[in-house]
Amino acid sequence: MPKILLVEDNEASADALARRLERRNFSVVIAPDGHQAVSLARSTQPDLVIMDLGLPGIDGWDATAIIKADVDTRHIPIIVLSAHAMPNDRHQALAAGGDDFDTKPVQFERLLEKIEMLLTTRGVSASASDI
Amino acid sequence: MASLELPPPPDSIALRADELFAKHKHEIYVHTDRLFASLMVLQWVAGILFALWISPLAWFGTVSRTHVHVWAAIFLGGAICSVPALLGVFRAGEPSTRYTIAVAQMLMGALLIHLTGGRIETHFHVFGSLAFLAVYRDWRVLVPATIVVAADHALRGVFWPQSVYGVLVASQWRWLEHSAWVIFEDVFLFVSCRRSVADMKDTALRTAALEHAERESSLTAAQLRITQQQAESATRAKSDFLASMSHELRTPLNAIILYSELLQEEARDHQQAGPMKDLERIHSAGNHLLGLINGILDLSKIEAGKMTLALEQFDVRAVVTDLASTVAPLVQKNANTLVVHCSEDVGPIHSDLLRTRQILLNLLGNAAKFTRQGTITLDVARRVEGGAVNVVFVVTDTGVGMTEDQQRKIFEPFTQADVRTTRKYGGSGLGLAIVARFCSLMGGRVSVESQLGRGSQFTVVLPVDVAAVVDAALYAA
Repeated sequence: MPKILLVEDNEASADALARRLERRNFSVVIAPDGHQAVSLARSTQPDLVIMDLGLPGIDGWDATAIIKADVDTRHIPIIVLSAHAMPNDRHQALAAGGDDFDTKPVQFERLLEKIEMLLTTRGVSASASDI
Repeated sequence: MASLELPPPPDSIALRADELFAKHKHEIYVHTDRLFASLMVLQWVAGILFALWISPLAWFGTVSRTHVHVWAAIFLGGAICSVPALLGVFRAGEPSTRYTIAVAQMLMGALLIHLTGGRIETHFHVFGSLAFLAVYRDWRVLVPATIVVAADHALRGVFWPQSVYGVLVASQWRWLEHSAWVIFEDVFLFVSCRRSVADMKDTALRTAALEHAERESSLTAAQLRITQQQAESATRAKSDFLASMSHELRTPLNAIILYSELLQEEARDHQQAGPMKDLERIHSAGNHLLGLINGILDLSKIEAGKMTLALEQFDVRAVVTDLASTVAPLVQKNANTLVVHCSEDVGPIHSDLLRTRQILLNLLGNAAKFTRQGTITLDVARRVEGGAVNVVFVVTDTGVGMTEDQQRKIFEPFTQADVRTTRKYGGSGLGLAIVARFCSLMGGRVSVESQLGRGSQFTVVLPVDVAAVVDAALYAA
């Protein structure tokens, strides 16, 4: 079961997205801020990170950069989520080391496609198709 | 609100005119005082030379000595000239200076007449001096000058007629004749001085009025600038507010949409038909709200000048083919047919791919929404218009159409054809406003032709190379 680290400070959004992902047979770990995102990425070694940008403490850009700078975690693909939907967000997210980008509110099916694509290229067996 | 100094009341023009007039007058007094200071020195020297030339020596018994006239020219002339010359240099512009000069000038005339032995021709010095004094443009200096001339002639005419008329015996009343000629000249000089002063006042008033007008117009320009800046910053503040608002709105909306989808999935799993319909409504209401927020965000970004173009080279045919498949479900929903004509030679375009797509998606989406069991046509062609190369997209439908009044307002935000349309067909009322703004952002334009009940035709013209048309600053960021 692929493991996803979901970094999201809004409890309802985190819960709803986590439960939807769990229904698709992902195991989900939630990090409510940038600090925990960085330490959970190291300790739980997820297969993929979904990173919200506007976070308390270390924000999503910095957390992404830190995870991508660490030898132990730099291999983990990161999908950056932003509620701003400004064209620059995409460039900045990718510049910080994100592997893909999506906007909030989440279009779940589109997000799933991106997750599956990243997991497949990393050799992790995609979940939904396995069942 | 930034405040500006109130424009000065009209009284201030008169005050300023007085100020300018006084300044001009003073300049003339100073200048003329200096002129007379030089003239005094010149006359003193001339007097001495006259005396030396006409009567350098005199016999006193058997002894020849320097003539008393030479001493008079040196000492009397020096006494008359020195005071006004000094005043003219050190106290130029003072009224006492020019009155002193007027008296001294006439006394100098008297001395010169005496030194030339009362020659009648030397009397011209008096008339010349009066004319010189008129340079002050102050008729009052003529008064002491005239009095001095009259008194001098009267006194010397009685006690020493040879000194003033060059004869041993003269008529007692001859001074009156001389004074009359002086007054004759004075009248003309008086009129000329008054005229001159009136002209100076006119000029001062005109200058003051001109200054006032210039200040007014620069004030108006400044006011306009401030008003414009206020309007611009208000628009920016409004747009910034909307942008951050829409961000705040997206966060809870994210949860609403995700939960409604989650619940729909669960209801489907447990085969609960009851809540499915309600959940579907929550979901579609959430998506409608999302469309509105996105539209407002787009508009506010354009108005705040924050909308930047992401330019790239792309193939128009590929985009059109892709769009046709994207809108297929929308088109089929109302049992419509989509016909696409894309000419072979349409070629690539250097523009913003996402915005071009959104323009066409909005237009095709509208056409599909307002047409039932009809045909929607998309024609795409390359066209050269007056040296500019454009790609022209024409979206035609056989739908409900619009009145002319509706067509006029159709590209303004929140103006769907009317309120009933909104209720019947849904939508945000922002789609076409965004289309129009995107088009102009990319250096192009959009227009509409429509007939009520027959259908509508939207024409979008986009330049093949945006960079050649739109200011570089727009997409530099």
